Amino acid sequence: MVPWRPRSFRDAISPVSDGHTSRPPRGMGSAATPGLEDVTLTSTVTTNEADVPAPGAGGLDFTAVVSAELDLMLRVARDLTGSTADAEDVVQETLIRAHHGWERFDGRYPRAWLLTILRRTFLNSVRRTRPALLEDDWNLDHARPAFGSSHQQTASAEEIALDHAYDPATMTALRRLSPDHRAVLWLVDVEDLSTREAALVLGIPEGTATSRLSRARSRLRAFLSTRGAE
Amino acid sequence: MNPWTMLTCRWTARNLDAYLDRALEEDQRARLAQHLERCLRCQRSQRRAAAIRSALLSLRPSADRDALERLQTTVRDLAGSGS
Repeated sequence: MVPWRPRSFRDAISPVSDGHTSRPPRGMGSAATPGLEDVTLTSTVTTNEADVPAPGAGGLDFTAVVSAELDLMLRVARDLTGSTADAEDVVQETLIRAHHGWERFDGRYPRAWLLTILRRTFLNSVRRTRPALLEDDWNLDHARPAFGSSHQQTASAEEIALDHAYDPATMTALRRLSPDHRAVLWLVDVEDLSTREAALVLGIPEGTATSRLSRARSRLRAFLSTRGAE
Repeated sequence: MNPWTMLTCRWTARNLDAYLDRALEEDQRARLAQHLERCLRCQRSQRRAAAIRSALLSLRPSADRDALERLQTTVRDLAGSGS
């Protein structure tokens, strides 16, 4: 059992805008930040830089943009809520909010925009004080067994041996990580979010997510090494 | 192993995750790739790290098809309703 860490709790439930609004996201340009943070439905900020009115989201199609992210949104919502039913409710509400805010969205980084709305919806609508990803008793009951057959067909003998060694060990090692480290690692290396997107979901500064990810990966490797994988 | 190679191995270990993330600048990426071609020890480290990445990716839960279908219906309804 990983000990409770109050500092991480505050990090986890703090509003998205706390701590990183003054820092431009790496690789996305400083202009992206106002658009990402400005997802409240009451905002009057004009996201189009020119004065000429433009269609919502820079002319992007709502259905196409949102449909492309539905699967990811549902998985992240499940990561946050720990419940399939709650996850669907959160995504339904997120879709409604996104549609209402569509005309004010500048069209840049739609995934990050949607994930920000999703996080706020989660905080507002679900009676949880803490994302399920950050629970001490988090488990992988919902996860599929590690390693599909296609990977093994092209892997070297050593990699196959490693695969078998990591299969149950990976899950055990994940449980040994602290909840805040595990949450970032899960969102980036399992859900395939960028570090910035993971930071948005967890409501932490991107730099914090980056350092937690680095430590989590190092510790995971160390845990797996001590179980005979080397 | 000569000291220069050891230094390069340490540098490679520090930057291996960024390399796998495709987050290195091109000159650094090329330098690391060049070292990997020559260093069996770092090649093993790379394979281990890549195997862990692969293991983690395979833990991703499968999609809930029924829920996705319901959500897709919501998207279509919203798009059809106008603002």
